[in-house]
Amino acid sequence: MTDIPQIVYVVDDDEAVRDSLELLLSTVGLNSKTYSSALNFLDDYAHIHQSEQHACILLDIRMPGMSGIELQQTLIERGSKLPIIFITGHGDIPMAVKAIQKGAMDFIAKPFHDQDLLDRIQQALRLHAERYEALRDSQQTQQHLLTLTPRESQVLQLMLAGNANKVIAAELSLSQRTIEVHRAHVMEKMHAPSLALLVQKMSRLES
Amino acid sequence: MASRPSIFLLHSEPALLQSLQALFYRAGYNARAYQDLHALIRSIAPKDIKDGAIVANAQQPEMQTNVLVELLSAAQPRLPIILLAARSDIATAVQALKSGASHFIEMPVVDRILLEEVENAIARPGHYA
Repeated sequence: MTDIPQIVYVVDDDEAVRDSLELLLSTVGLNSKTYSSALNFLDDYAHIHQSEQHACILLDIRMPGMSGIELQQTLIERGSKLPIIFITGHGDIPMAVKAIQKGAMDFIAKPFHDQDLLDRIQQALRLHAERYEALRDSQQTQQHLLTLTPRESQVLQLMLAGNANKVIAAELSLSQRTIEVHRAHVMEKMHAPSLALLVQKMSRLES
Repeated sequence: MASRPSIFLLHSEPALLQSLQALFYRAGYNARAYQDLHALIRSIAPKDIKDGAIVANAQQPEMQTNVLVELLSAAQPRLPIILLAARSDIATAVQALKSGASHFIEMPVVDRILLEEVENAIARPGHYA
């Protein structure tokens, strides 16, 4: 999805670090926005949350006020899907393990190679694009589900269980011809060109 | 016969392996000890194994930690993998978790903590990142 703009949010209390990351990102054509504290980032979060950009966060661990780890926790609570890459000069293994277990995409100790960081940023942006598309697809499927009549929903459930029209007809005490019509409506309303794709759409709702 | 969860232990140092086995045995697990990676892999491969965990030394000779994790989870995707490491680094730990390990614990570790972490990993298996 190259038509959607990309942006990297940098949260670090050290101005020199912010500047050098911004410069590094610009050399590969990546837009960035910098914040000098976790709270500044949160102030902007409503705006960030609504923007339709593929994004990730480069997050410092140790900052005065709210730490990077605390910001991660807050973002989890707010249901954020932004991938986080922690960057730290003072981290240790338990801290890194905890951050990853809580869903951080990466945890990088300084000093690091620029190319290594850029590779991970590209990974993070891809991951965000995938999450974004998965969310959008599942919202669409939800919308489509709402357009089904109660009878069509019943037919859908029986279709998903792998039943043939004959079985569904017997189950619902309807004629096979009627089931065929319902089935066609279900496929049309769910925007599913095949049963396989319908099953796929529905299974992605759960996750 | 109620089956106890199995802990598959891998460590090249016999003394350490033995004390780990004793620790998990006392905690009520079916603790099975291996010095050799390939022997461990043969034991975890059966399909009926689902309850338990793998506790392995992250530092295997001539093998990167993420490769170790990939081998273990390919052999048995249902068991959480807990790695133990002395003198390791952040990059190795992060790589291991990203490859599918549940936990990466620095040695030495307090017995109680190790048991707790393994118990947690069994309770909520799953991969990170």
